[in-house]
Amino acid sequence: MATELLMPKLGMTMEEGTIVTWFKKVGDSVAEGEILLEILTDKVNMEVEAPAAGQVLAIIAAEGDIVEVNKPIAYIGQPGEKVESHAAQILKTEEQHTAQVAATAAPVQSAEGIGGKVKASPAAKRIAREEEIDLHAVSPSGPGGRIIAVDVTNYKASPLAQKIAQDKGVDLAEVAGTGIGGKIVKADVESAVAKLGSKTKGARKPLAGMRKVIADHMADAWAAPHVTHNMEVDMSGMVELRKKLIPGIEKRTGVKPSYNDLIIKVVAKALREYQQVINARLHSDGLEICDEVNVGMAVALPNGLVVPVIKNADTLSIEEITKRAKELAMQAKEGKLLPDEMSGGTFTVTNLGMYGIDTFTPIVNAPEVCILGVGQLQDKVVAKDGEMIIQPRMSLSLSFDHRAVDGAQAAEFLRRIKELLEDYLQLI
Amino acid sequence: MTMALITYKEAVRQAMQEEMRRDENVFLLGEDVGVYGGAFGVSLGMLEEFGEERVRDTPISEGVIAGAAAGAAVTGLRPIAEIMFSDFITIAMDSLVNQAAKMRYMFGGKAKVPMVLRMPGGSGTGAAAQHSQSLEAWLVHVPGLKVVMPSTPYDVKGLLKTAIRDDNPVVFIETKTVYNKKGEVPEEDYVIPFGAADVKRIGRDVTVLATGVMVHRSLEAAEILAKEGIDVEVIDPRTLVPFDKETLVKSVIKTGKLIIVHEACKRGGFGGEVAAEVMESEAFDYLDAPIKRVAGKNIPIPYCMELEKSAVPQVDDIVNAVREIV
Repeated sequence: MATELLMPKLGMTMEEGTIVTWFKKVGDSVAEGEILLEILTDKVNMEVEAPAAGQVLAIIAAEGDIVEVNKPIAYIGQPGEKVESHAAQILKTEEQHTAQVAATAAPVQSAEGIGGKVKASPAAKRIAREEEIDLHAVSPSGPGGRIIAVDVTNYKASPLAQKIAQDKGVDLAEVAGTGIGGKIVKADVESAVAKLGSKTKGARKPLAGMRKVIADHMADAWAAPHVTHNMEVDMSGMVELRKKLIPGIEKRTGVKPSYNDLIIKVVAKALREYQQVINARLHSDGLEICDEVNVGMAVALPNGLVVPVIKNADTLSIEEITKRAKELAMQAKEGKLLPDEMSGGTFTVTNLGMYGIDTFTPIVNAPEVCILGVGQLQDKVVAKDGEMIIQPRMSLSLSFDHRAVDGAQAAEFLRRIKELLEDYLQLI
Repeated sequence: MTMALITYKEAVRQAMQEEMRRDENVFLLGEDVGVYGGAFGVSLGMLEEFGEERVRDTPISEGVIAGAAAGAAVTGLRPIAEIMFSDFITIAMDSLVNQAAKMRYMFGGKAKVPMVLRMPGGSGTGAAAQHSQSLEAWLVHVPGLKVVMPSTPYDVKGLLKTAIRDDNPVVFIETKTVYNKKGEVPEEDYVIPFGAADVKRIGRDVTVLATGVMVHRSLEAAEILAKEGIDVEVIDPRTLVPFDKETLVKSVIKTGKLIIVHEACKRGGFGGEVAAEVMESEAFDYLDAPIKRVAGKNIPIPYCMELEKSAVPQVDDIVNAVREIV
């Protein structure tokens, strides 16, 4: 019997995966354990191995398809072997579909009543009136040959047309039907898809993969009552420290420490000191005070955002943080982060300084309770001892979940970060 | 709010006791309501608390009960009159329909008739054709009468208090087969306004409007249907006059399907009125199946308990009716 290849469940929260690339096609032979395809899960790309040796008999999910976990995506077996019937069902070619649609296009049963009137429910009649559909052409499915509401809604487009419209984000209400009785058929939807490209109105694409995860996560996180504190910091000390550190660290690791790395170091120390209040995660059943200080760093990608986590950041030296941060950022850019490397965070640092942003209001990365936004570093004129002096300065924005953290607590924590940034000797 | 688990019967008694303690003009009269405590034990203990003046046993004459109540009401008291079985309302009809229901209107609003006529209705006790009828449709037909038909202890207590405080004649039909059914009732004083239906179960696929014991049977049917993936909304109008059309229309617009369930005979029953109200409303254009009535057969209630059951809707009848139109 053919072996079924299922969409693997690669994480506790994974509910669906997107097929990125098939490395084999139907008819190719594969060895057990050979890489068969790449999938995109909640923010990560993963390679999937062939579960058995044999020939790829069928591929059910095409590249770009989103498939629920534990649902079949392909079959592997001996040449000539038949795949199971339900798979075969899905495998029906478009031509077969089209033939089927054509066969059902003509009403199988007439809803004609006495005197040529149509038997239809009031709801069906209302929809037909609104959509300008001739009920004589609609096939009834209600008792006694009555047209009911669902018959009219289904009538407008063939099943295949409905499927394509859904996949391509086409609004059927705006598609003119050219089929029997004005029915919308596959060709109508396809030409509408083609037109969509030239129209200014954008085609809708379903939120999938990472985008969907981000969307859901942001909507959840937004439920927290947010407050943001802003504070400006004198970065003279940090500029000096970084200059001193660069040669040694670069020599040993090949990478330079960034201001962000220094900030992570500072934040980790402050988090250890304020562990009871800030280093926490808020769950529906209570506040979890976390033992480990795990600092997440937001990494922007062309198609979204990931937050790899530097575990036990408070126990790492600046050099170790620098090295780890660079590794994680590289993996993130290649889409190779493992789920474990993106979970367990207790605090997040997000830096928009490189875009010239001065200050912003980050959204807390739930279930964490605080997030630090880092603005750009720039020389500013400040008053000191009655004199104007020029100083490298930077804005910090601490957003917090006001359910878990009070304004004064957050202010104290932010002040401590400022203190550490302005007096790096305290880091020793 | 502190809740107590009490029976429907106890809820009726508490409503009467609390209102009688609150207002000395409220009193109870009826056959065997005093020494015997009522044919169903509803007024047990009330004679001891309020004395013979306020808990009055009457002769076996419903004509007298209704006439005395109407007279007492129009002269300033607030009588609660009990008709032992709603079937006997026939004898009280003249006082109720031609006097009580008409006085306020005919005297240009100068007379008030604050009376409540309580009566247990419905079948299910093997009491045969003269003690088992559901005659609410007759009463609904008379302008000037309010008709209340509660199905749960919570509803019966809150609605009876509203009935007693109302300045118009109220026919209060109690469901005798649920007298011993328990439910949660607040210990604090509360009233339920007339004309406010209660959605007993929220559903998506079909609306079932039911009264009296049929509310319970419809809820049971809904649970069976839920296992088949059919999501039933159950609405109890609680008061037939005034009738909460808005809640029903909203529900039918949502589900597109309506089944009306009552124990009374289908012919000339309240269900026909409800169906017509929906047809005349904006819900018409949302109906996706004919409105269905599941009601009692057009026959006298048989004495034999098996036959009695088959004369009025049972859970299975409701389940089947829903399956037919969903």
